[in-house]
Amino acid sequence: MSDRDAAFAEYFAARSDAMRGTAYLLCGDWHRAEDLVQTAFTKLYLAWDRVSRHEVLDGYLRQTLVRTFLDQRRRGWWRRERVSDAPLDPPAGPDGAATHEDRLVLLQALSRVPPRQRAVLVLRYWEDVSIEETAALLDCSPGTVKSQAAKGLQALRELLVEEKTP
Amino acid sequence: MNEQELRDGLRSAMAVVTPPPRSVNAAAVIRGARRARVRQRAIWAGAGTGLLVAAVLVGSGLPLGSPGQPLDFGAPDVAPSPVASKPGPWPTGPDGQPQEDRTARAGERYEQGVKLLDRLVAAVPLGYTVPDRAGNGRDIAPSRHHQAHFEDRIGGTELWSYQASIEVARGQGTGRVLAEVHTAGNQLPSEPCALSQRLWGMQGECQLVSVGAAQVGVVVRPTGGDRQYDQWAGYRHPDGVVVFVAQAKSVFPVVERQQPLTTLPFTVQQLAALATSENLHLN
Repeated sequence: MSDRDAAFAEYFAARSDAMRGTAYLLCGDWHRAEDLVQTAFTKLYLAWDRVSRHEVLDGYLRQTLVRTFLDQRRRGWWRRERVSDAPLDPPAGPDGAATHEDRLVLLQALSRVPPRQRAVLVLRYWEDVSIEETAALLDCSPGTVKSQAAKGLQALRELLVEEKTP
Repeated sequence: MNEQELRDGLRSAMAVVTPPPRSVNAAAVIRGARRARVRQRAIWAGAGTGLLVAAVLVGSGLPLGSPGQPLDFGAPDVAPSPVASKPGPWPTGPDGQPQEDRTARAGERYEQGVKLLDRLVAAVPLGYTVPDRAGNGRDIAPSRHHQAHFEDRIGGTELWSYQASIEVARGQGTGRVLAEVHTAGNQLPSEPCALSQRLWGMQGECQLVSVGAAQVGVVVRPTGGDRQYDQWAGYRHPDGVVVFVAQAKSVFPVVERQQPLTTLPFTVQQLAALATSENLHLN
């Protein structure tokens, strides 16, 4: 294995699970999350020589993942956002059922927030990316990030009420 | 819910969901990336014969592709990957090799996607045209697209979906029509309105529409956060094949300053009939 491939494989092993979680929050579907992560890492490998300085890798990968998600969503080439009756896997922890349900309701609601607002929410509150960096990732202004975050939170609040209403 | 509550809620929720086993490893990614690069170079080398394809690649800078092929991994490796790999769960392609991901790029399943696109184009009502414009690999999608997608394997049976998406134009306006077919054995609901609300998870006000003896759930007005389509219908054929059709007055999002259609191409009754049509009934 070349040094380049070894370095890439090491980075993949270190970051792919975390990226899969982020991709899942973006698209609400593990299969599609896997596809997004594969696409993002493929693009990263092709650009490895340009971006292999470690301080840049995470940002490049995150940007590729989010932009690929938004791009595919916009094209409508990927049609599935939530097609299963049980899109969220059964809980594994020891907590009570109601608590688990509340947690899963949050993910259900998030998957219904409009894609660009959802991307802002995931970047800001899951990845803990700054407003400025989020703006750079999404190629928009910090003001737009703030407004999209506010709208996304409001949409999420409304959807949570809707999800919890029998 | 405030920002901190969302932050805590996401971490709490992700702690209790269990992801399926990972099906992609570094070796597979490296192999696919190399194939894409070889393919890209081959296309550049033969640029005189492939100006259109080259234009797409210039636009994307990446192996994004032609209809049916969102990632171009089609060319074989020049040299075997030095990285040890284990086979993924993907079906075997027409070349006898496992697919690189869920999308079929050749063979019978791919052809079903092509067929769906052709038949969807043929179903567009008189008075509408169907533009045939290539995408630029970035913000302008091709005006026609098809894809065959491996969904799952249940009890040894492969489940596939086929999708076709077209722009439809009339006068100065442009909208969009979609067809999506899920092969028999899928786990989608049987109840018509429950079925229709499963297209992409979009929610809306559903009506039951009769087409002969068939009952079709047609969502006539979206109510959820995702409003890419104005109306959509889903129908389960007796053999289990599910057909969704959807229509929108505008192309989402309006990136090309395209004006929307003034009216939807299909009436509610026509949309329901299209969902039940044998023309879109593919397995």
